[in-house]
Amino acid sequence: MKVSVLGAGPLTAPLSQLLTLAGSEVRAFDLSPDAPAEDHAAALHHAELIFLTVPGPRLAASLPSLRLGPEHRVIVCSRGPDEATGLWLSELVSLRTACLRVGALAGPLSPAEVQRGSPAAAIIASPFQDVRARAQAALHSPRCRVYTSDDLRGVELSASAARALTAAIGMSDAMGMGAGVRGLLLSRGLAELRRLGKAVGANPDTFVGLAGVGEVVAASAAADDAAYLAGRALLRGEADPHEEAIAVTAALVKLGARNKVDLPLLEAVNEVATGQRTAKEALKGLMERAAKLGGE
Amino acid sequence: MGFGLWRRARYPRVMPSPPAIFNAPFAHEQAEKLLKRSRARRAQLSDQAISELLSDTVYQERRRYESDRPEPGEAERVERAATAIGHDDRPAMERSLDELITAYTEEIHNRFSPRAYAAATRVLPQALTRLVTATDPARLLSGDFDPDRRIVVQGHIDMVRGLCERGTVILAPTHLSNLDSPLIGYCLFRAGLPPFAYGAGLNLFTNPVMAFWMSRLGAYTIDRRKNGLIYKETLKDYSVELFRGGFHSLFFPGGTRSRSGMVEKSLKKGLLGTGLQAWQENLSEGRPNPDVFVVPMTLSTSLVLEAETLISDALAAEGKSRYIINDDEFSDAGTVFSFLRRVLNLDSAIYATFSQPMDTLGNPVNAQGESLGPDGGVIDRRRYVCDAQGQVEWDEQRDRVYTERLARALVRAFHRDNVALPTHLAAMAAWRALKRRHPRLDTWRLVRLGRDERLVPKASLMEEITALREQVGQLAVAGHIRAALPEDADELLQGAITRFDSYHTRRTIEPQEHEVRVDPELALYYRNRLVGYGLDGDAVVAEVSA
Repeated sequence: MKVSVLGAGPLTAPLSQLLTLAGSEVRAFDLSPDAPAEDHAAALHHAELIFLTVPGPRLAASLPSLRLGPEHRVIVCSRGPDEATGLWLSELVSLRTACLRVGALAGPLSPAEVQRGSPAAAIIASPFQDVRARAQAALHSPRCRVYTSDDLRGVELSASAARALTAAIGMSDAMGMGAGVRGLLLSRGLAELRRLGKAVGANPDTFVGLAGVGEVVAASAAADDAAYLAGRALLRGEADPHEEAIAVTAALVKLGARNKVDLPLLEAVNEVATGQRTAKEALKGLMERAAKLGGE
Repeated sequence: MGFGLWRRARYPRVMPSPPAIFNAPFAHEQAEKLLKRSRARRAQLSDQAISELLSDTVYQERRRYESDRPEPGEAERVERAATAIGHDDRPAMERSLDELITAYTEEIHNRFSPRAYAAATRVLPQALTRLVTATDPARLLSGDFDPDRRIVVQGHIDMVRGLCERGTVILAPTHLSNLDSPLIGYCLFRAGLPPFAYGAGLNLFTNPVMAFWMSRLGAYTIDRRKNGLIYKETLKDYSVELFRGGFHSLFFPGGTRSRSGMVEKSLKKGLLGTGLQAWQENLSEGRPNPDVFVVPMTLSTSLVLEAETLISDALAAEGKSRYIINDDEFSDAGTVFSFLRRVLNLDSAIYATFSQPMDTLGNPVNAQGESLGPDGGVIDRRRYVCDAQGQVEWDEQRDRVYTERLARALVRAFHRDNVALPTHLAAMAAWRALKRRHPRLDTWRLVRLGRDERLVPKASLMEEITALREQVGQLAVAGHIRAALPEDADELLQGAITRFDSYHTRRTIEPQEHEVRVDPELALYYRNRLVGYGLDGDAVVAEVSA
């Protein structure tokens, strides 16, 4: 299958590698503003399927130059929601361009591990069966297991929340907290995710799959994961607001507020990222919340 | 056909030739087409699948006979199907399928009569005038009655007329009352549009006079009690054939009258998807004028004939509300005429708004019928369904997703082109005032309040009206709703009370010295027309993503 990988995100290289291993004919294109326009046209013309790896915070700005049309099938690999509009990235594509057949890729695809040749796994979500089937055929190989889901909203939400939770775990590790706090963050984070998912119409089962639990467990164990490192940097007060994990945390907090969903953990991470509290104050605040019967 | 019958239309007729519906097929011709479709489909099915399909219909029909007496021959057909299933005899099962489809088609099909149409369009404006002026003969003499002041037909009328020439148009209106179909028929005529075929519930054919006219004016029959898959497939195939035949059609995508009075939020996708199907079939066969367009239409009326029955049905305990109601105000001719007379005596009582036309995927189209992308540029919509060589790629699952998108686009259009009228706004203000007085009570308790507990201070009502008027005004400026409301709060309330009292026997808002007594059920019903805009803590439909 002819596939294009568009954008210069951290996933571009490992994804291209896995697609090639699966037998796809891959062409990767840089989408930075100084890349020649004919590259875009060539990329679109080439592909039966397009993987977009432009980082979430830059996707909205990149779309107009992409000229996606009715004939295209697009898999978004970066994480949303878009902070300015609150739209999921797949929605951004289907609302801002004429391309309707969209999907998302998520799961524990660590660039370093793919590079080392370790087995990998991913999940492709789309409401379109045809998009799921093509993307699975393009990527599935003995090196990379590919699962599919029709719960696009759930996969996008899980994958974003996984970034935020990984950052939270990075922050707690940097503070020298133990495995107990890790367990606490993961389980309470999932509880927040379930509440948020329920409010936005996602299937809660999706969160315990590859896009949610699978990714948090993998990312928080990899010392070089971008979200984990961003979390560690929070303790030093060095948050980069353009870093994907930090941007999606802010967007998820906004989404929670709009849907009247209580998200104490994500809010705490966001407060640290925006300098409203130190990491220690945030952790103290979380631990001092009034005890609840039942726990949910 | 002569051109005389168009003379009374508000717009000149531009059709170069009589509309396709003037040459409607006979029932047996239609049945042949539908049998062909069914046979092609079932050629792919295993014996087991055929048996399951037929069993479903046998089960559903037998269940139906428990409450409805079968028509002559009907039960025998179903029993023959049961025997064929029992013998596991494929040829017999296929014969049974053919027999059922033929019978269903004959029931659904009605043949449009140009002669009846000519008669109806000559008589209708006069009948309306007579109906209204019968209460006040002086108005007839003074020539005061002008239907255009009573029924405002607005929106993208010119564009819809143009699209009727370029392809097949599906009109998808909101649905409040059994009077909607004749009302829309009248609006189409006033707008200079050709007659449309439309699906009408079998219960509307029980009155022989209505049945005579409806069956000749493009109405085909939908029996909502028939739940079997074979019936549903036959109905969908029938609809596809209508579109392919170039018959402009209307059906209510909400499926039934809105019980609560709210603008439709969820739609039936089955019939809605038949436009996409017909378009693709036209494309793959290279037919001329293959395009199918969808035009949302929002009906906004000050008063609703069946308001009292519908809202009490909506409030009935979950599971007990009725999908089909046979004993409402519509079944009493006296009530219908009295209602019409009163409503048509009110200025601007009814708004029918044609929304921006769309393609069958929910993209807006321009006057040339070209689809427009989010940046306003023209897009080639065939690429959504065709491969690089221009061949249609059949994919039912994909089409269901496209149809869901169309449904969401329709729902947004319904809300955008809904017209807020004084009765709606006053009812919402009264409901809010009632909630303010009883802040702890939920909807079900509020509608059961005792007589004295329904009183609210007049000042509180006026405050709510002023605040709501402001909110709705802002929404209208932002393009989220249309509004036809007086600026002055007193005038608005008075206008609403006059309208309510002109028809309903129960007083919706009854002014006392310093208080007003609210009928909570009716206030809730009319208030619900403004739900979906976040005015009363409800979810905002415009924010539902595409």
